[in-house]
Amino acid sequence: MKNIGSIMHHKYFLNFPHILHGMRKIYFLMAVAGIVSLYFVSFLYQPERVVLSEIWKYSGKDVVVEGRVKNVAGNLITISDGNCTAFIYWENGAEVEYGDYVEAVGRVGEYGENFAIYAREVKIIRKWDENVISLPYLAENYEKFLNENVNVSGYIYSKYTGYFYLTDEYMEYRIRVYCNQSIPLKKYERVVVKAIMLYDPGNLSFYLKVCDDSHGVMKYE
Amino acid sequence: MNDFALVIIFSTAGALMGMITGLIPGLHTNNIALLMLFLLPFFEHAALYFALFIVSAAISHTFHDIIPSTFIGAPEDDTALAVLPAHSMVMRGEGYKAIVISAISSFLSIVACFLLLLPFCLLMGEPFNLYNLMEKNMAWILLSISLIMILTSKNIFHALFIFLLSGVFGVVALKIPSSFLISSSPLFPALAGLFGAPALLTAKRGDIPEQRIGEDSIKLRKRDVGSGVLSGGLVSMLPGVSAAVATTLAMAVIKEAKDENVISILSATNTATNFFVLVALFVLLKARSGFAIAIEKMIYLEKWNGMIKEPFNLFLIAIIISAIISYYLTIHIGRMVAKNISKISYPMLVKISLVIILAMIFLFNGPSGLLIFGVGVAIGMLCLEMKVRRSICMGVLLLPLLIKYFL
Repeated sequence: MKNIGSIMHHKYFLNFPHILHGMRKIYFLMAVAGIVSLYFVSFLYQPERVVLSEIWKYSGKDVVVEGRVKNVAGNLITISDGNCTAFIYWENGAEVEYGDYVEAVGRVGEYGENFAIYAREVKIIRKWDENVISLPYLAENYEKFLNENVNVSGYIYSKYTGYFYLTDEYMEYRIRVYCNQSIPLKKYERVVVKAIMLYDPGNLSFYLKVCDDSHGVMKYE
Repeated sequence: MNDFALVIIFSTAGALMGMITGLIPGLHTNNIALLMLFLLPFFEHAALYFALFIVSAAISHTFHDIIPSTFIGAPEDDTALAVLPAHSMVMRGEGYKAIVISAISSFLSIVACFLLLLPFCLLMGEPFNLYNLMEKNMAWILLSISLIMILTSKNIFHALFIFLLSGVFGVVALKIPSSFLISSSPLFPALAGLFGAPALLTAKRGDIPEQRIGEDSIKLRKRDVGSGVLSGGLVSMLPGVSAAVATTLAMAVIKEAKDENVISILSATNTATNFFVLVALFVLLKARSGFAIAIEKMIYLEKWNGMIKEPFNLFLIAIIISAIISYYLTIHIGRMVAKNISKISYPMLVKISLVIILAMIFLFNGPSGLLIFGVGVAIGMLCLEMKVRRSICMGVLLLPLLIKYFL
């Protein structure tokens, strides 16, 4: 505390303009005025926000797009806004996960026979596991979540080796959850399942699979 | 034609292209990589040779970009910190010596990179996976670099003030997509303003002394090249971090250094960064630079599994060819410029240099680039007035990165 006190009483803190005199003051004022001007100029350069189905119209231009991550393969991210999908080429693609809701800023260019956004910035607006959804909501909006990470709440209906069934509070819906971890939870206990939602064409049914470090089954708090 | 002959031809052509991009301030090998990608559909069978061309150009660029930095004070991100010492040497008649030191350091850096290749691959990839550890702790690494830079300054308050001012400038300026006639980033005008123009405007007035050619003895310290190679190696693996941060890291740990040492460290760092960017592409399958992204799109890459096989070995051959050609070209061109530079009066050189820098900025970045340049000049001059170490201005890159990683 004594050190902090002595720093706070240092002459530069007590008399900040002391370090800015003569030419220093002029350069400082020029720098501040310039930074403020640049700040306003940056608004002029704000790229247009476009829907994914229209990015082809903006080839060579900067755009802002948003959507849910459907796939991450190396530096190539596929996002969807519900109506259309688009590719985002981003060097740090490893940071985003299936199901994250992201916003990308970058230039539209060709990628093979498609268009892609060569992003200079990708912001994760909402992580896929930020909001817990209920099993009925998942069942009614399955198209939105297919092949994506989901964070779904429900009750354990029955347990078997390697999988269990998750149900809702009225036992109206039921989904199989594949999980190799041992689950120290009892039947009818309320849980949150973080897993990827997949479709099994052999059984014509959807299922959840716990298969990643970010996945798991936890007691609902 | 024989395949190996094609490797030599494309590597040589790449080295010549790197010479051109290195000598023209603001022109980057990424621009060439983009051009090659554009041409690729017309020459699909030559994808591997195009990739070799790009790697060779990237290495050659790091040899040659010291020449405009030294004689006209026009820096790039990786040579920004070398501008002032190199320009001081020009004003002492040692411009040629600066170029020779840079060329030797870059060449020795390549030799050291080859010696460290295997241990580096083992450390960063399997079995040690140091890369994952570094990636997870990137924010703290950057914070440590920043703190070392500030806390080892003579006046901590002045240094902190300049760091924050440069950082705020970076946060605002780097958001502006300032590509104009040629695709480029706002980094060039920012660095030319922070480092280039102040070096020209504040250098000792008077005529440029005749540059001594081959009269000075050159002594390089192994640790200068070594620290440059290590910094370049570490930083080349990390996402979103450029060679400029590698040079800052290398400089942060050295408190007192002569102009010659600074040039040696920065040149070694600069070359090592591009070498290890290529290595990262094969060891981690991660593209860490524009030229690496282009290569990744051009050819199929197989992850390094302990054996150096095709096409990795061809890339290493291209680097050797490029380094040898670039070494001699850099010294030859440096000698030519040094012989003639004293024929120009210093005020005239400053005017010519500023006109070239302004023209390049306008060509690459347009009117917004000129505004960025102006603000950079004000901060760079303030830094000199406050007698703060120039590397503190690297806050322009470090603060935006810290904000990105921590927020």
